[in-house]
Amino acid sequence: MIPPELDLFAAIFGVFVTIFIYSFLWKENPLSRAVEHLFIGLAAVFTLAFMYDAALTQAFWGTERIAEGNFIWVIPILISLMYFFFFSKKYFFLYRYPVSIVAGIMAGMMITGMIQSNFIAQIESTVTLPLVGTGVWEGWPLPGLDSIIIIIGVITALSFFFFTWEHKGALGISTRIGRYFLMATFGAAYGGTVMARMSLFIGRLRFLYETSYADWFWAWYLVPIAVLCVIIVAVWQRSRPTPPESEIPPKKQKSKD
Amino acid sequence: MINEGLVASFAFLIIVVAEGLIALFLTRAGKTHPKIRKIPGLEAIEEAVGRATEMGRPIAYTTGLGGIRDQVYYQTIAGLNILGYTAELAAKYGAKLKYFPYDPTVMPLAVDVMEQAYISAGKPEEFNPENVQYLGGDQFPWAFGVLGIMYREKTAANIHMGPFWAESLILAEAGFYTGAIQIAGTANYHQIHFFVVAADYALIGEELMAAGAYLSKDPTQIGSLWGADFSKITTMALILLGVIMTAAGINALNDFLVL
Amino acid sequence: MALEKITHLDRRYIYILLFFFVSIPLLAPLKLPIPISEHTYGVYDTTNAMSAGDVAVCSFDFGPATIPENRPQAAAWIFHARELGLRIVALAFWAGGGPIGEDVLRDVYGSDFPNIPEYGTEVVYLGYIPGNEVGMQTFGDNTQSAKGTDHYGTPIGDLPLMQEVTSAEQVDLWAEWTSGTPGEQQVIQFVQGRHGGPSALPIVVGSTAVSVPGMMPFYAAGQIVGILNGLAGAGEYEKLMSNDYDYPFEQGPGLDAQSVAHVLVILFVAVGNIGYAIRRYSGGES
Repeated sequence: MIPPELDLFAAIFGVFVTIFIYSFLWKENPLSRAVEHLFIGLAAVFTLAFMYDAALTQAFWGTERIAEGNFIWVIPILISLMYFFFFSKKYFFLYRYPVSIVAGIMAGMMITGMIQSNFIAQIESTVTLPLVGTGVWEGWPLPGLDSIIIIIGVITALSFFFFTWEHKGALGISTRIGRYFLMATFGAAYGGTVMARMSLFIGRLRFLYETSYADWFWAWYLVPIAVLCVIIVAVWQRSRPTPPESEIPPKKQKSKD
Repeated sequence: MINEGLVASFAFLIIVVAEGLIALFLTRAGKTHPKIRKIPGLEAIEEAVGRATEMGRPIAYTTGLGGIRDQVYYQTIAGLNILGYTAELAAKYGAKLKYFPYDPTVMPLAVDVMEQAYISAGKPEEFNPENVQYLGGDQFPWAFGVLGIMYREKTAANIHMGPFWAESLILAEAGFYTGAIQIAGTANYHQIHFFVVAADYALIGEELMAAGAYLSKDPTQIGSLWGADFSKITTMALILLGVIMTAAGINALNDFLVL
Repeated sequence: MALEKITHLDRRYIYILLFFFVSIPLLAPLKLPIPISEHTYGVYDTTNAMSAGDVAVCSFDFGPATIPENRPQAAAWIFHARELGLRIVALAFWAGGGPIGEDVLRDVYGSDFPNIPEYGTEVVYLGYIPGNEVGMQTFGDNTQSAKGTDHYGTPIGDLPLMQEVTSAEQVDLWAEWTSGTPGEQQVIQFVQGRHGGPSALPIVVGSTAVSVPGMMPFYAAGQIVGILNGLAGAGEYEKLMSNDYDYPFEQGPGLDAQSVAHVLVILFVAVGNIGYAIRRYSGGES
């Protein structure tokens, strides 16, 4: 159980880390770099700790596991341990076996899973789009028009991904239309991304504005101190001599293909 | 024998595999020579490596958040394919190539791929395994780590090939501001738009998977790509046929698809 | 020209503007109206259609990075499911989702969770199940093969609810809180597709807004029956819960801030494009 006093520590730490990491938007500086390294280190330890715990709870403890005498779980453990041959110069090649097994399992699983959900179910939903019948060409937006747009979009976008035929003639027209559909999809996805990014930013701001502890501490009290730290470090960094930058040659013009 | 609801899937799988195998064997036997359309993003890799050599600055290479133990492993493998090609060019020109794996299980593969590339280029002694740097297996710490290195080491070229999620914009925008030449590709269609906008060259969707065949000119890979094109034709034909039949009130195909 | 100059504006000014504009509604909420979308109603109606005692899987497949979007979605839905008397098998296929899931359950069931009377019969928390898609498929086929113990070390076989739920066949609804892979597509492929399809196992999703356009083909095909779209989806569900029950509507200021931020972004995009067009057609760079 986490002691409640840690909440205060977490809030204080959270404010400084948030401001330091956002300072990167202004300029890369030692404080943002420190948080970056802390972030990477924590992520590595978190992954390691969780994988270790997962391996134990998956294979050793609990219902029908090694602790209950089911030794079949020894086999995957031995296979996974072969990864460690990566560190051996002589038996380096042995690490490729677990890699092959995992990649093979994924290939098999993916094909069987995707054929149903991403192909057949999608084809079925496309061919059953309403084109004729009552109400299909009435009202706005016209359901029938929606159907036609979707069908054209699916066919032409698919044609964009022909690799062994030149995009000329009818295929050229189709791929060009398909390209517009793809761009429209990217635009929609961009809108969703803006929304998601703003949510994260709003989440951080709400943390700064709303976090409190025992009615006497509010997280935003510390914001000016954290900002001051960034300014001091920025001034200090500016006063240090910087090595001359090598000349950047111009990039070639982006291809229009 | 076949589970209920999966009959159509099984039939489709058989057709697609058959098309792929026929195309592959025909190409391998030299009976046909399919040509792959131009993919500018892949052509630009040599320019990027050349630029990095000229400037004496490193190239940053990532394969996104994929591993080999998840569903997007095929994108990671495609990214590693291009990594091999890039490493060979880097070895040939004497440029420094740095690779940042996200998934620890990809790390040994990357070391292996890069080492083989340096051996192929005739410079095995120049391969430094420390140029494969693990930056933690969590999305944003990893992205921030790559970003920091891009800024500090002023990379001349950034190449991102593989499955990307929310970190795509972080990497592509930062690279844009550092002035590096950027080549990026992903089949995660909810992220491609960032690469299209912020990178100099973008590989859209399946173009990433076609890279192996495009770069290696290996008849087996070209053949399988040709087979994949046929499976797309089958899909398009099935959709058109289905649409026409449904509009005409014939539900035979729909009934078959739900079998 | 001013518009041309604005296309070269230092991005840091945009950050500052955004900071101020987003802060205003957070400090002084605008209380803008919140229309409930069709996708949100999909989640709400599907959950309401369940009967007391039905089993729902609640999967926390997101990490700390998307807590602002996914956590309130999951909390509001779990509250709803508990009020309806659904039995919940909570778990995570993302390592990062493990501890977050526990926090969300504590929000709903109280800080004593899992030391509550209904633990084991009405709700269980299995924690992180390793293996990504493989773990997901294994769980669907045989829950006890997927993990030996729950999040707290109790053997799964000792939990009454898990004795009953031996595979996805006994699951009536799957609630997926996701921000990537494995996520809703993998549940469709490796659980729903293998266990009777959408009619036998409806899936409701709460997702980060980035991924929602990619889910639409699955929503249109009926493989997903409802989607909570990012923070807005979370706010809409909270609103529905606050209408039906005594549930706090906490995302109001956040939604106001988001609306303001979107207006600002649209303005930036419009001004940027106009500036670009002027430059291009007045013979400047192409």
